[in-house]
Amino acid sequence: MKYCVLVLFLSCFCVVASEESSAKLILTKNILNSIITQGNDLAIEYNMYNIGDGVATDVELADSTLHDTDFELISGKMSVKWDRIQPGTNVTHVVVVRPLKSGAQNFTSAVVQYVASEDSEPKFGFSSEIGEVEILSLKEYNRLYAPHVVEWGMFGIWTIPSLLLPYMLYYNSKTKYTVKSKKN
Amino acid sequence: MANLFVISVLSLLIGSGFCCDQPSVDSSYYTSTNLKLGKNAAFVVELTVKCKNNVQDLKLYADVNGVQYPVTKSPEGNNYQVSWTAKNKKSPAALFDVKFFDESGYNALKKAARINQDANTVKPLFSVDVKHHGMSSGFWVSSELIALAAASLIFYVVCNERSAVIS
Repeated sequence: MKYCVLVLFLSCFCVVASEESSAKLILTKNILNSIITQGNDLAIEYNMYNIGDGVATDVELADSTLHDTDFELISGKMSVKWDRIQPGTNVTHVVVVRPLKSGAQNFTSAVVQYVASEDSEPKFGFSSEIGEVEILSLKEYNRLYAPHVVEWGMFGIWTIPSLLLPYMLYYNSKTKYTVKSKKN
Repeated sequence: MANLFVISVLSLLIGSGFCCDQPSVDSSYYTSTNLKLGKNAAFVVELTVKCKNNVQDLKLYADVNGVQYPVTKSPEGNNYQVSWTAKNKKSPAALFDVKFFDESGYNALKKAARINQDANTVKPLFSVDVKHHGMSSGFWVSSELIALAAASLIFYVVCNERSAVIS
């Protein structure tokens, strides 16, 4: 009898233990651009992976590191939420900003808050850090990547005297020569 | 009989506030177009959805070219956002038909995929057209190439004249 009770108790404990599944979210933050410049769009991607075996509910992502003084928000929201993220799946969020200042900029972590299992307290997590990135100034970007049409146009104008002068001399002598041959 | 049952359940759901009745959508989108900044393209669609039966907190899913993405919601207001990326390839100009489904539509879509049924049979709640102009790095011919072509042309003309004079 006692043996049966013990077996029953242990089996209940095992059932309870196996039903506890918990979500675990990993958040990565990375920049999609190859070149970051002042005055040009910068796309930041947030990837959230649920590596746990439970559903993550009430997932909220917030990035308060991109201040209004340094970045202008072009598209996307800094603070978003998902209702649930299934285990073994991932979700993506993209935000597009425009840097207002050039120079070194430190991109730090975003924060995620989620409920890992039913009736548990909300958990917090931090994203990966991008670190310090050099933002090119608009002048530097134009020096490297602009089409320089105006510069080429000016160059063309300045070469005109050195081309036109010898050509006029040649043309004058040519017309004189052609007139002489007709006479002959 | 079955149809009547479905209609009654649907009306019950709409009345109880789970289905969005006659949604009015206000949307805007962003696509990456500057190839000089990098090959990775970002696509962002932001929308505000107002339901006639005033349902808040919709659980939406977006379908873009057969791939489903969960739609995020901002903590305040009825603002939703869906975003996706195309990495390591130059995204050509395209018109994306982004279809939005609620929970029941999404389940129907998954079921259609499971039983190999055509996904177009599932009707979306609403859809948004996203026009991507393609990624370009300015004018298709660089100014250096034009300058080189002009210089080569002048050189060719001068050489021709010179050879005509010499011969």
